Amino acid sequence: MIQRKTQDIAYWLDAYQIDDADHEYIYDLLAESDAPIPARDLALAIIRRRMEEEERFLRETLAQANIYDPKEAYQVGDEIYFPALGFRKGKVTAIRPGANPEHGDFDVITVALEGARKPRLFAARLQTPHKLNRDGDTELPLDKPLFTPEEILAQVEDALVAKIEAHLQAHTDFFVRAGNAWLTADQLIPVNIGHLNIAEALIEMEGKPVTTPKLLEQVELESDMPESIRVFSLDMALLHDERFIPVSLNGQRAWFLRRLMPAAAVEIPDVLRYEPVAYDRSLLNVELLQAEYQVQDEWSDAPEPEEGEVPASAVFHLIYPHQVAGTMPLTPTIRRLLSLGSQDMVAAITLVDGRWGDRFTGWVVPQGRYIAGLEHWYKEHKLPIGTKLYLQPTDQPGEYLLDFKPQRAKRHWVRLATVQGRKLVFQTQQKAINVEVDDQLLLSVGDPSAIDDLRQMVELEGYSVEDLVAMIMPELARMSPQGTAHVKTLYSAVNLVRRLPPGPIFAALVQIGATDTGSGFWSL
Amino acid sequence: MPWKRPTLDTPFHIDWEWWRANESNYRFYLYEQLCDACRERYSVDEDVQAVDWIDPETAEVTADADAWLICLTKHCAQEPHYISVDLPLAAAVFRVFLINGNRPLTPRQLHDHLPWRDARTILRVIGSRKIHYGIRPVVD
Repeated sequence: MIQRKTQDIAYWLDAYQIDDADHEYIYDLLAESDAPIPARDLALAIIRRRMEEEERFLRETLAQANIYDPKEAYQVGDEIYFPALGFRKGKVTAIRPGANPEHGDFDVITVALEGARKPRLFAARLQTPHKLNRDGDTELPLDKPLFTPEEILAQVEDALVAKIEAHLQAHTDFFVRAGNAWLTADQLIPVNIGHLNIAEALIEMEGKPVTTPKLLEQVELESDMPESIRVFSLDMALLHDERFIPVSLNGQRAWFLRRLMPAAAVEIPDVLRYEPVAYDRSLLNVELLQAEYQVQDEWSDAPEPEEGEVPASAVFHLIYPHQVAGTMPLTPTIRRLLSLGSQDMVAAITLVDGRWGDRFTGWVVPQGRYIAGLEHWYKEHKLPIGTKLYLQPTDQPGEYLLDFKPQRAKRHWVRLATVQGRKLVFQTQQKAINVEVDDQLLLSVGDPSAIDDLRQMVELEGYSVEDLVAMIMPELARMSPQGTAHVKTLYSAVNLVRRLPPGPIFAALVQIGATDTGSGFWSL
Repeated sequence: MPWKRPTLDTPFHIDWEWWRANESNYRFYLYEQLCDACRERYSVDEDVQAVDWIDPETAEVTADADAWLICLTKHCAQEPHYISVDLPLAAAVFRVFLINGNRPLTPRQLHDHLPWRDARTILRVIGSRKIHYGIRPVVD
């Protein structure tokens, strides 16, 4: 029996290289296809082709050949194919009597194998039984394939797809990609500036993301071509035009205009940029962990809720960075509520104002862990830092009700943050608040531009988390007769000048030697 | 050559010269190391030290091969308990060298093959003045 090369998993993982024949085969496959082909399918086709080729070689080339059988007698000059050596061909160059009492009288033939520098010795005229004896069987001693192409692919998919994609990427004059699928460069339908201008006008008119098939209803690309290739060609052209941006709409790829999107949907604003900080999480006691859980920060290291049913609604609190950026946090609960999975593309959802019923687009930015597009809504309702907000799905797919709880205007003592020199200072101020808030997170800001300057200084001068906590904690504690401040207030205040989840802030509080006075209050 | 105390990092091997000089019947010792199936295949008095050995898979011939040694490495060594904790330590070391083609190994390296005995014990047995199975330090 022989082991086919294509049945050897190690061959696909290591030795296999795409040769010219494979290159042409892929090109022909793509050229003849009505739709772009994913790299995985190309990998499967290559495996199948190589298996068929090997089978054909074994059947056709070797059917007439002199197959080595140790029982046979050979002459100098005979050409033989060796089944146990992958059917390598060799020529007999010498014969001598063999010496081994176990086998009796036999020959040892010297064989020059093709491609081998040294001759090798094989038994001939062997009377004792051997695995390679064919005993008059005219069939080739082929093994039955052990694995189907699909079974081989299942074992080598990552490595083989990577090899194929690397090859295709290195030949962009032949192949074009969009996502995981590939097409030949020749198949792309030319898309001109006129087509793109029509697409732009259509999206602007709709005022929301539009899918490619919908754009194609107006953008007339060669209608005799298959739709998948028309979609692919338009997608490619839109992708290379800066005016357009791909977004996910109800799980489908759609297109929107960059200029119509809120800035935070296109680029993560500085106030929301979080550089992960290493800290000793074991410093956080149970109360600190509870406070961390309560604020539901999207960058918290708290364990994610276990996968299960999609929650019915989510609650979060407004903190300063989200207020100024016009965003809301994409907490693990909200992520599950939106059924986002692990996608990275910006997604469009419809938000419904829980007060007035207005609908507007929210832009989910998974990379920045927030939803943009709320600036106008925050301003309209004059929501203060610390507002408790609710998000719940409506009965329409991709639509969510965003709300807060109004209450009769109540006068609150609010901490007003101002900048004095290079410091953040606080004073109390009576303010009428008519929405439900978390009193410990409640803050107001005197001059946002001064706060922004201080934020930049903190960043430029590389303040550590301990530096910030040591700067802000005394100012907060000073406002209370007991000389204490709540950890959630500290979290809310630190976030005026640097985006940080509670974990590193609370750990820094412990590290600078603050004392836990109970119920979430700490003193210095 | 004066005897020098070997260490845990001294490479050892089977010194076939020692066998020729001290044990004319080393073939008998070698035969003892064969598994039951190989002993059945060859009789102890059979001269198979330099035969044309035929590979059971490919029928390729290895000229001047010691059939017992090939059997040891290709067949016996594949048996699951060929080297086991039940063997005397010197015999186990001997089998390790037979299987690895007599490639020199230090007591530390031998311990990797015989993890149930620590390297010092291995050194004590094979590094003493008494020679077991011709196992001696490699002399440059």
